[in-house]
Amino acid sequence: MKKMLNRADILLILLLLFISFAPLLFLTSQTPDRLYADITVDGKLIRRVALSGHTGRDTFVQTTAGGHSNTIVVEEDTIAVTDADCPDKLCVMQGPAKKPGDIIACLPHKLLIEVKGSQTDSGLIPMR
Amino acid sequence: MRSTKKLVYLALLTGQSLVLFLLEGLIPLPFLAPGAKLGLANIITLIALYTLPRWQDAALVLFLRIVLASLFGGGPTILLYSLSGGLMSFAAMVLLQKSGRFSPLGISSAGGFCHHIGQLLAASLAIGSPQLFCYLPILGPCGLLTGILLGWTATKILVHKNN
Repeated sequence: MKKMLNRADILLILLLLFISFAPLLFLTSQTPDRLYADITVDGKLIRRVALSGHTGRDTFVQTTAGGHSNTIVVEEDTIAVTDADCPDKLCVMQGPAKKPGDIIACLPHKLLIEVKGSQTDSGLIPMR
Repeated sequence: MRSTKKLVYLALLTGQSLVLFLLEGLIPLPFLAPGAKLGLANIITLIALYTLPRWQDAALVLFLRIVLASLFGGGPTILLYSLSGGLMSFAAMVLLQKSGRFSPLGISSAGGFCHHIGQLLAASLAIGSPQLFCYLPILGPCGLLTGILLGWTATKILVHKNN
């Protein structure tokens, strides 16, 4: 039998190792292309805010059940609740949300902000 | 090789690779990325490639192992990914062996790498987006590493078999 590892083998392995990292040049990141936030009050979709590509700072006041309100700030590609007239202010303390699956909830006002991505989550595909 | 002897040898190889496949399922391994695994059964594919006169026979051993393994544990989705990975890997290994320039170790590492390429291609077609190739920087080196280890093992076995 010849040598265990010859020059051609080493070149082949290095070439394949190089190819392994090629997708980094073409595919930017694993996060979905388009992120958006769905704002629901009492289970009904009130507003959909695009997060990807959003620049600057937008503030709006969302009125909720019983005449209450939450101040929602969309800054760059994150969304946060900065003020609310609820007693506990838990929604403010949750900070900004930016990843798919992040949620901000204000239970007294039945307000829910969910960050979603437009692409299938690849982690769901079973492979072995 | 006479046909009865060959039949027994093929059956033996298929059985051995199945045992290795099931054994591998018992070894707990850290989860790196979907699809990353040892691929112990590939040792047998390599040995089949080097000991059988025709590559078609080695392909038969591989195909039987994949189909039977998916019956033991897996299902149609796993079968699809195993087949695409296995066929891609096998094609690469046969071509590299035919070129005559590479040792079993190099061929095995290319096989491990191409297994992931095949799986990622199938999965990308299934979800209709190339985004899954983001896993290649993890899966590719993993495949090369396991390929080197398996190739080393197979070389040792082949040396003993020839003596």
